[in-house]
Amino acid sequence: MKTVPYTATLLLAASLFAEMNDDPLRATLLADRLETASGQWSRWEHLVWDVSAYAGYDLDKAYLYSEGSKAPGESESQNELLYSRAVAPFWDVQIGAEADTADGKSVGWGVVAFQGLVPYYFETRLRLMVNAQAVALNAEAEYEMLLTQRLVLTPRIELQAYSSDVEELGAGAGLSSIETGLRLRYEFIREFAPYVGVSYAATIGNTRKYAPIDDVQAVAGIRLWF
Amino acid sequence: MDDHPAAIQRRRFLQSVAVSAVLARTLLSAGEGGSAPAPIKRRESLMLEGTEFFLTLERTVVNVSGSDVLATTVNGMLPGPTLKWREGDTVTIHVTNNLPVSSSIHWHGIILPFHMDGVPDISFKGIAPGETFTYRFPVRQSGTFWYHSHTGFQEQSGVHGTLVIVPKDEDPVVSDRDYVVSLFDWSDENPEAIYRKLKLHSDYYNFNQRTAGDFISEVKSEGFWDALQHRAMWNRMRMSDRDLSDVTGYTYTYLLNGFTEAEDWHALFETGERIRLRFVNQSAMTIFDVRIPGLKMTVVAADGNPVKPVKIDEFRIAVAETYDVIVEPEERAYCIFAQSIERSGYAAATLAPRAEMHAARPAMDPPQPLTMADMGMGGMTGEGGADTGAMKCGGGMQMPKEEGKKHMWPITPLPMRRGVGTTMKAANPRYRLDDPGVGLRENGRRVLTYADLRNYYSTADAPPPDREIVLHLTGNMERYMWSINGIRYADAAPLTFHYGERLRITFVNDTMMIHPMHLHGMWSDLETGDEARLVRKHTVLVQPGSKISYRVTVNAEGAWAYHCHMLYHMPGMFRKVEVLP
Repeated sequence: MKTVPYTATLLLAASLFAEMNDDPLRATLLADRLETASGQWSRWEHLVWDVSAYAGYDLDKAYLYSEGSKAPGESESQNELLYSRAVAPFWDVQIGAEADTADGKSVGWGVVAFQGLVPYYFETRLRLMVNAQAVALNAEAEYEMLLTQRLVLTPRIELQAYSSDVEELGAGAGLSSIETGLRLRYEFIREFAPYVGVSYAATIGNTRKYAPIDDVQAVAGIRLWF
Repeated sequence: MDDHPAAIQRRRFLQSVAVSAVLARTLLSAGEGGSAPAPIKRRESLMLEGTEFFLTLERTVVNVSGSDVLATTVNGMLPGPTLKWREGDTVTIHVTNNLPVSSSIHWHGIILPFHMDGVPDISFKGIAPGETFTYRFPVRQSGTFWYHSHTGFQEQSGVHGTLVIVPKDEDPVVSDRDYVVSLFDWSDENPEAIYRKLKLHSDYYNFNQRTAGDFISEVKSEGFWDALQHRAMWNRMRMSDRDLSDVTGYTYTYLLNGFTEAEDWHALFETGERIRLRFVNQSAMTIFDVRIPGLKMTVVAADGNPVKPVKIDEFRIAVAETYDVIVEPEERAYCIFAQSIERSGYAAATLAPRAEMHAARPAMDPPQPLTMADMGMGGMTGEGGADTGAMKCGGGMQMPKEEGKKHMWPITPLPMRRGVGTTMKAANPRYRLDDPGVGLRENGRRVLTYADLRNYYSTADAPPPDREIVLHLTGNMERYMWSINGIRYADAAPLTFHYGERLRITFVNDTMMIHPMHLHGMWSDLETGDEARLVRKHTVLVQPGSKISYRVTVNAEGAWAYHCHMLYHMPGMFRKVEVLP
């Protein structure tokens, strides 16, 4: 008999579970954006990430979100840990805590968020952050347009607003920033898709006194999950 | 020999240490699946005949797609051995479980005492690793049936086989030759991994999704405004009209009697013979559309029970259904062709007078999108202009006689939940017995529909229903949750049937998927248009957005399983039935 590496094959094909549980515990991590921008491609010094992970069940999940960017001499990130509960066929309500960082300073928030699929298949997330200083709002929407079964064009937009200045984060009262992008990915397998795209980021209004940003950049990166 | 008591003590102590060391090793290795016998190599699938059978559930190395992987099989065969029984005999089947986990065998469609039905936690406790369970029951029926594991997802990894039961009296089906044709969807992936992927991304396996190009071609054919409105309807509901199968040829290799299309299984015949082909869909998730190009098939039995012969070109076979057909081929090679409903692949074999002949495969049909009727909206002829005309069926709709009349029997209300787990409600579900279903509409071929089926024997003596229950098939495709009446199995109270009653069951499919519903232990007498010829089935295909009704004579004591036979829908879309005196 041919020797077979059974330890490896054990993971394949054979169902060696006796339970029939319709709602098993699962954990997954999605790096929706993991990219670098034009001008720094060769050095990978500029890095943008947008990662989420959860562990849980159909209705109840523990979620982690981390989104941010790193470049020489500057860095910022938003990190959340939330309990997520499915409340409608396409909607989850989430509650938890967030830590935002900017160039070494950090600010904590309490968070309530709504995440779901609106008609026309826009994936949306609306999040309300509260602390003693301010109330903040973040809204993002993403759409997946299939050009072929594996070539997917993804427009996205993200807006951020604050009730008052949050100096540590370099954020001004009112609508503070907008980020829109258009990315084209190719799914070699569902879990792995390199992409290229263009992204536009700008600070708005009072925030410009801290950091006047108005950038159009070409981006390249990978989207992956497991 | 020193027989000092202390020495005896010491010896005993050492023995017990040795025993517990062995025990500890066994327990440790059981965790790695190592206490079970080592995997064996795949054997050729055989037919076993008689009244006593010895079946072993084994971990078996199979190579379907080019790499060696482990399957769970019966007697090392994929599919398991075909068991040939005789009506009137009492069969004894010893099932030894050499798997490292609990297992079971369920005799699908067989009428038997409930503790022989083989459903863990309902009929019995299952067969523990290393144990042998002996099934023993009288065979009171004949025809084509099958068996499979009812534990976890073991059916997907190979625990299934065919049952051929020879009638005691004269067989109404006359043939010169007789072949089993089993259909199966093999995957090298572990079924738990498939299920996890569906839970994370329910469209993971769907590579037939709507693209921007599709919209452009629709604009060309329908005009911009109509195309936009057509899309808008689906988009508003956040549903896809291209969602035909949850799991597809992306991971599946479709097998016919355990052979791939390339291996080309042969059914040989001599010219002039009448051949009986016993089609059994033993898949986990795949609905097949079957035809033999160039050859008319005469359907003579459905789910093992004889029907009035009906001549057709093609039939759809849902998971767990069986159809027996008669063919009378000429002196040439034919292809037995079974394409999956979403057209991502096919199983095929050759029917020929000589072994060296090979039948060319036809091209697969293009997949058809679902229509508004499949969503339980609009009628058969595209009310509201929403339909693409795919549903025009010529004549009027066939429907059971009571339709539109006042019910002559009470409907027992059942708990119903709408919420996170239910995305769709069929606003206008219709009986669609003469609708061949998505993918087969207006294809120019004579396709079997349920409306064509008539029991070979009269059912005129059957009493009218005493009462009715309505079961909604519900789900949320996005979250991959499935349930009945919006309540998943884990949260559901058992259904109560009363011994001796005649029950009418109506399904309303509030989802976009086909669900083959299987009631254990009792026949489902399907209403196909003639009260006096109700069709005797064990598994009933419920089309998306439609309704369908059947009668059940509750003549089986005990507790029974009742569920959708799509393996990955089953954990949620399931009920326990308790038959009360």
